Amino acid sequence: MPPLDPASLPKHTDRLFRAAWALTGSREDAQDLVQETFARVLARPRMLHGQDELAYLLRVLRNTFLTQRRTASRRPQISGSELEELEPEDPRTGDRPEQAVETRELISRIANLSEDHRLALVAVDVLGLSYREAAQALRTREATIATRVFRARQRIARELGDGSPAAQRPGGAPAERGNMKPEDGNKKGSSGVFTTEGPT
Amino acid sequence: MMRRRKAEAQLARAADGTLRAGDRRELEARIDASPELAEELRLQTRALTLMQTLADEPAPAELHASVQSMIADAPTRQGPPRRSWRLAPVAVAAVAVVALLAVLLSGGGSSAPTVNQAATLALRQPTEPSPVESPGPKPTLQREAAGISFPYWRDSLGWSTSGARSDTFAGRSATTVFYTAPNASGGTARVGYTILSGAALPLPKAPAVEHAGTRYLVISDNGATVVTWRRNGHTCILAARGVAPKTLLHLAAWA
Repeated sequence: MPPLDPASLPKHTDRLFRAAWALTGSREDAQDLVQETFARVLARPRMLHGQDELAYLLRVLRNTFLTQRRTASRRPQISGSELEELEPEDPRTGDRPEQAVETRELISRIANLSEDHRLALVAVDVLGLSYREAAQALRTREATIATRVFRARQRIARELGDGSPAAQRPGGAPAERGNMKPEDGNKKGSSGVFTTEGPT
Repeated sequence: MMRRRKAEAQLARAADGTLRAGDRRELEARIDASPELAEELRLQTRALTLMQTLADEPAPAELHASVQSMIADAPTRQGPPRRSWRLAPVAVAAVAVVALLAVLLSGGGSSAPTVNQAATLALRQPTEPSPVESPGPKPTLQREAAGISFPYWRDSLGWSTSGARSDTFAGRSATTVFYTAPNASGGTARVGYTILSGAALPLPKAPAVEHAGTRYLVISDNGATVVTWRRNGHTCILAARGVAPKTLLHLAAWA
């Protein structure tokens, strides 16, 4: 049962930052969240208990995220309008403006998912954990993670345009493509078999 | 319900290639007979393609630097952590009694160091001469702490250095530089800028303002105004009495 090696943490920074960004919806909050996560991890020696390092870090990231969110909800807010000169800048808009906009849109959609769906999507599709590792880190069943990932992806693909000819046609009428012809069930908000928003 | 969830899980796995061969064959047969299932699989694949765009997003260089700094400052211990459940029951009870007494004798408060406590250093008097100012194209002072240079504010913001002090706070070295400027009433306003080496202190509950990727928290404490933020994983504090929060935030943004 090896302890977590602090020297190995830097290699996870990029992926944890992306996960934190997707969870919080803000680059600044993501930086803060990753720093706080590492501060917690480094505060004392940690045992992995058979977990993958990244899965362990996801668990700490998730707990830190939930703690920060609870704290923020109790924190008084002040308006930034008093401080016009301190408006935040997006350091990424200068060199890759189009990609930055697309990424922001994607992040915004992920951040709007329900917490359970967001965490599952972040674990599997952002951090690249297996369904089993994600289930251990998030303390739920593997099948539940898979279902949550399905629903999170389904919603994101629909909200961001699914890339099909139907999605790009005026009026949104589905295009017939052999046996891929969609029916009502694939429209957002319809009551088809695979359109569900209920808890998993 | 069960069949639907099973199908959803299988579609998610089929899209990212983790579905077992037997299940995949079964799902493929169902997809062949169901345009709806085929469309759902296509949506899963589409979402995965979208998610791939995130893989090109690196963490900011500042965060990487901060993580390296935190690791360098982390306490090093030999061997695995002690496992408390291996202690004898009598020892556990003794530890519990001592801990209870400590809490009772201290009034029940937390002993963790706070930003408010550290900020008192920035409100004390200087004990060392002013650092040498080095004006130039990008002026700073010839004094730094935890690899962070203290700023030169005289030409741009009108605040001149008036002294410094060095302290130890919660096991961290605390370096403070003091700045003064004339205030509206004809007197002199003073701010203290403290940089703590070592791991950052916990962030207090306070209103926050963000600027250029840094979050500044504003605290009022016993008539003093305190602005705190983190740089390279270290706690930075500006504190003053009789100075508006907006002024402190403006200085902090230039620090």
